[in-house]
Amino acid sequence: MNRHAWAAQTSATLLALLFLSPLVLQVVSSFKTRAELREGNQHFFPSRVSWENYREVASRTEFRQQFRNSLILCFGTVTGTLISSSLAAYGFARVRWRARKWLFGLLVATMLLPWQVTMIPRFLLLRQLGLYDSLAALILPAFLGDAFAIFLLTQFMRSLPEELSEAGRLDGLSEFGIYWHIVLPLCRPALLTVALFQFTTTWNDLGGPMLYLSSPEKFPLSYGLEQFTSSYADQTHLLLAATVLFGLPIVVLVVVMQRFFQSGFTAKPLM
Amino acid sequence: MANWGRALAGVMAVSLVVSVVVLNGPAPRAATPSGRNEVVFWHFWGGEDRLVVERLIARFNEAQSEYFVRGVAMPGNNFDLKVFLAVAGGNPPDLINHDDPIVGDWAARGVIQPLRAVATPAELETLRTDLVPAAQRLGDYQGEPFALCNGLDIRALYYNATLLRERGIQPPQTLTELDQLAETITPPSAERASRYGFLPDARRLWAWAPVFGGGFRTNDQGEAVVDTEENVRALEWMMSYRLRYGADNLAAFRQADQSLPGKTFPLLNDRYAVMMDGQWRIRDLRAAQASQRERNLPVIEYGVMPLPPPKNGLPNAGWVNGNIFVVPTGAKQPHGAWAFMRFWLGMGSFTDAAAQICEEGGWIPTLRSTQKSPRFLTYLKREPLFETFVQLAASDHQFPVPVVPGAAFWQREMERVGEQSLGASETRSAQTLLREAEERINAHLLRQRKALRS
Repeated sequence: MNRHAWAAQTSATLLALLFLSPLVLQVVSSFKTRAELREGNQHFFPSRVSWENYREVASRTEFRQQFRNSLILCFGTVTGTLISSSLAAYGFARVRWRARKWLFGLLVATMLLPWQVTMIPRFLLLRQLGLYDSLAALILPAFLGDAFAIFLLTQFMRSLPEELSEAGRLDGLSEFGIYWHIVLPLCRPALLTVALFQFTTTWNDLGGPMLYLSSPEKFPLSYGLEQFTSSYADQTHLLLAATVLFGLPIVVLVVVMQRFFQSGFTAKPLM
Repeated sequence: MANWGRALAGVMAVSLVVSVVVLNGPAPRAATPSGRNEVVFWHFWGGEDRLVVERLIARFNEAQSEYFVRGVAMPGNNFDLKVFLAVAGGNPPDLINHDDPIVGDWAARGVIQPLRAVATPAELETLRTDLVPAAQRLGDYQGEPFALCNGLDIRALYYNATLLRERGIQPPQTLTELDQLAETITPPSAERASRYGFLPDARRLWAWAPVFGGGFRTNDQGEAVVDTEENVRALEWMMSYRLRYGADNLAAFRQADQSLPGKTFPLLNDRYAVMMDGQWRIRDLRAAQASQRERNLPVIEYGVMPLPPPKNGLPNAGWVNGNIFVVPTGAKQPHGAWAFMRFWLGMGSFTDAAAQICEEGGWIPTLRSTQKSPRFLTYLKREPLFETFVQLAASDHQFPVPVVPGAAFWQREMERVGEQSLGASETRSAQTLLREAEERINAHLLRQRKALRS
């Protein structure tokens, strides 16, 4: 290893450790007792490793229920986004029709709109549809496409050689058959990237559930974390354990899907 | 590749069915007992307090047979917007418990109902005579009660009694004595002190202005009155600590306060000898003492005292905020909401139940009758630190942020003035800071009034 490579690796490692340090502090502190936390950060490590905080958090029925709700929401929105966005992207990338470039530009422009802009009309619409206070209020919009996902998938699909579609047509495949049998399987890295984005967005979302849900038994885990905070007396010891559990699925998902995640942005299929 | 496609199709089909059909159905919940009306209650309580509130709701539900309160803890994130949309959409809760200065804004916009819509004239009269003045001030908008205060947050000075005894210092009774204590514990020449005798909290001009005989109010034209002689003197006194210790030293010290985990009370870390905070800190002190006993460490004693006034200042004065009940416009069970409010506060035959609530939560009762109930007096004997806060709560010199549309802005502006007064780069006088703040606040209040008229 030459000197430059060594310096680059050392810098990268130090930087990684720097970014990792809050996470390490969070995990280590989650094993501290309430009394230890109250006394401040006098000692980095807990006096003894106790799983009590985790036991208490996990034993709460509402925590398990919220965990389940979060998974349901993620599962639903990922599915909805993949179906709707891949179909829309196929239309933009692989089918020639008038005004598609103009509409694609319009779609991309909607990415600039903050969520708050569409929040109220969306609320009124969902309430009129009778979906207020149901998980469907948060899941169904995902089946209507997501601008970022459509953009990402469109760019990926555009990079696929047109000859593949021609070959499919010669074999008698319909347009949907080409989408389903040829294009979609080749888009796997991009689809997984979109899925990962959607999963993390939904998992971390608090604003949406707060707006569209009212029944505590339907709230997700992001709401559950708020329950450990208070204007007067936080349950910091439980909050730390709960946030570690909250972050765990995302960490596992990112680690497992890291390879696909990178290739989703960088890969040029069949090139 | 074909297998992958089939698998993906299967997963998508199943998840679509699950998402749209199954999940749209109602999730399981504890059913409202038959023959009883459900009262939906949104509240802000979290942490340990939420458990106290849940027990309280359970006791109410057991105590009567007409209503069934369903409590829903709502975090502050987007809460106001959620309430507004729920009211506009015709699906509001029946009762809300809030801890922000929202009464003026919500009442002016018609989001909440006046209490006369749910309470009888006799009950309103009872409230007039039994509610402590601070609680009345928090709930009245333009002379009419729109909110019912169910808990007061009172500030006092906590002190490390063990430390003061070791140093031979008596708890200060006047502002001059407080300044002397601060200089004795931490001389002005101290560089990078690890402990300060006392430092004024930049956010708490709200508390010190009434102590100096000033305060913040609106005039007959609805304009904010901020730049007064008393308020200037209060701010100048706060600034004197910057001049004494140096703004950079104070900023560095305060920065370290922020590194304490959660909402740790810095007095427990021996960073101050005296500091201002609210009654909820008592349980932190007691928990710390219990921990010291458990580990066979010397137990540190603490005391509480009112904010000491300067010459010609007001005794037992300060800033008060609190928790308020409001009934949204369009609530389906407003009378059920009122029944629950009566239970929580201790009106009628519920005095003992209310005293129990306050004891469990460490909350200050807002009704004099509850404060004087045998059960609560017994509690005060067990917890003498709390008694000072209860006495302060009954004082006529405790003032909230004025109940006007735009109150939250006013509150933030005064906190900003406090921050500026202690900041290193600030060269403007106290009077200039207050005058500029007054102009900004009045411009904001004017915009609010215009928006409401349109």
